[in-house]
Amino acid sequence: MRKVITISLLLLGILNQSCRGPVVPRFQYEKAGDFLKKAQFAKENPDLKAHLEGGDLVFLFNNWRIDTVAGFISGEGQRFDYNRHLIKEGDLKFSMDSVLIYEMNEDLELADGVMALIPLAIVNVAVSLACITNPKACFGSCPTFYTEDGNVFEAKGEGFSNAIAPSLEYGDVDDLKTSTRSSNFKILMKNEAQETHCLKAVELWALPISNEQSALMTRDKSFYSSSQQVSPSSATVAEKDVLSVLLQSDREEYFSAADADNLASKEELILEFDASELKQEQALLLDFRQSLMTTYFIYSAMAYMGDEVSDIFAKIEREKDLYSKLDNGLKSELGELEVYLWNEELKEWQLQGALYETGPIAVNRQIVPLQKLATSETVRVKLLMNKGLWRLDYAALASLDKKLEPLKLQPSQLKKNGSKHSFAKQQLLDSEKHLISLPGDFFELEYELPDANRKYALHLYSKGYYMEWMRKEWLGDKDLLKLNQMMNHPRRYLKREADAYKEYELVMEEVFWSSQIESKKVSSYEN
Amino acid sequence: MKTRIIISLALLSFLLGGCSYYKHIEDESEFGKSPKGSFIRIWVKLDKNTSDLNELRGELIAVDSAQLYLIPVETEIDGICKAISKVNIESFSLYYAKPNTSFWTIPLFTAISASHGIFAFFTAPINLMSTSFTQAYIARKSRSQESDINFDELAAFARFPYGLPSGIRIEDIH
Repeated sequence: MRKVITISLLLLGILNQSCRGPVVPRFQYEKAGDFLKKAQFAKENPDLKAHLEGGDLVFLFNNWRIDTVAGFISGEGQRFDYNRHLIKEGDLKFSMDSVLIYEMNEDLELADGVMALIPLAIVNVAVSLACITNPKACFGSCPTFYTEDGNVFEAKGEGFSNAIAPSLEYGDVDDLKTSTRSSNFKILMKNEAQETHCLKAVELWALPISNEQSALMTRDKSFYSSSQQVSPSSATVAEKDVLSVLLQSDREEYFSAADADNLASKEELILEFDASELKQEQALLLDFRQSLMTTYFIYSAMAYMGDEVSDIFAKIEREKDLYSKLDNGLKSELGELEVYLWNEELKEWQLQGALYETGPIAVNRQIVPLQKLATSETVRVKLLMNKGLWRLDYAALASLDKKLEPLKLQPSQLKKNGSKHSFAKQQLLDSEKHLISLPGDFFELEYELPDANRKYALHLYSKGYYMEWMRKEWLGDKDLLKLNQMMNHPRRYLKREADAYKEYELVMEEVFWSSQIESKKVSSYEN
Repeated sequence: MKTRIIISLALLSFLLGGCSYYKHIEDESEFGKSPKGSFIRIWVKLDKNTSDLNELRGELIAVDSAQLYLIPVETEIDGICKAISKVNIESFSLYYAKPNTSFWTIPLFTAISASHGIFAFFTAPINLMSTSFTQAYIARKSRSQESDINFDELAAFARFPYGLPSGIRIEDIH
């Protein structure tokens, strides 16, 4: 945000220097003939300002008359002295000889600061309305985590997105993509959704690294130090070049629209790396997050449950296979983000692993270690993924130096909604209890690092579950048959729901992209 | 963090909107009707040996071959016509009318982003930059500076566009 303010001030400076002032419609003539000629072409009979010898000014309204034969000017108006005191008003008559300058002005048409912002206001209202209509899509899901070095608008992590019931509680690790040399580190945890968050633990996992290293994490929470990253030399989807958006971790992402006929359609993204500089073990590093597709399915499922939502969730608690059906049915159809490596000798793609993190807000950074192939210096990687489900921000080939063990730190200080809160801290530190966070709550968590002279890469571990609040407007969409189809026949459901989803996707994506100029320019959006 | 942003926003709004001299500038509808000269701000070099500049602002009275005359406002010498040597004038801004700026839109639009949830990441900076840029542009389009017009052209907007009237002492003008 500070950067934005700096840029704004810089822009104003540039604007001040480079922009030109207005073209001002003021015309002055020494000769009456020139003035009359100009007045002939005026839209309406103009007012006349006559600057007289001695400093007086006569302002004649549009009924003036210049008698060039008699040498007089007459009309109704006002006469001012050199200090601009009004000295005469009404019918005036004076000699042309006393006039030094004849002046005519047209209307000055300055732009209006409010009118100029109407298009921006429309976009803002559209985004606000979209968020009011569809709050979950805008206000996140699960606890969202922010760091001091980051941006108040950019969540660095979102915890346990899949844990939508107590029995589904699990621990989630997010790469905060930051490091510290300080003796302490602060994290802001917010509840920005209409949900009740139940947190069992929020730990900072610190990984000691050297200056030039970063710490990378696999899906199964193994950590490696890495001192080298190689950007892809090419990235294509169906022969379309998408390299530019994958070269930096900057939220300029590759994403595609879902298939209009089948929400389970897949696509392939092919990456090529020149790995001649990488001698160690290597892994594919990917910054990724989900689109709003999974959010849509969670919404839909709850809406289908209608007024039986609490009964069904109670059943989920008693019969775990019900959730497995709900989650795995759809999830297995949509699939994970599968990573394949090209084996030149065998002339085939070989599966190396897969990535999966639910949630459209925070960008996840994870690695998939790749099998070492000695035959080629060019590494070809294929990502097989569901169309319209994933957003990819950054891809690289990373060296894996050595395995790391994280230091798991508990918060030393806790503030709830701006005030120290020992009860909340006690709840969070007690492994038998949950810290409850309601919509709008925010918690500032402070952690103490063991050695201020060391550099630590930071990850965040959060464990818990959350309960989505039922919305009044969802009750009307109750459809247990559709819920049954979603759970038991996901393939059919994903085909039949495509039209409805495309309508939702179109609105959400349009609102999203119309509100960001820079990313639209560089993001690839295919239909 | 939040405090810093609020302070920065307030500062930005203040920088743009804190123009106390706007009250001395005529409304747009008065352009062409006002018997007085346009409002001008000039920056004058105090001393050849320093780079310090002194700002004077007020009604533009006249411009001749060597000097510019104005009646300052918001100074200790308010209301007294003052002659400034043109060579000492580093820069100037001439205001034709009070700009139709609405600086309150800067914090307002930025604050509206709070209702955009996660999209505020994109909409807040866009709102901040768009509103700042628009208001600055509108302010800029109500005035000219030395890069736009020269001293001769400036004279057209003075109370006496042909120069000081003969026979009138400068101290009698107010």
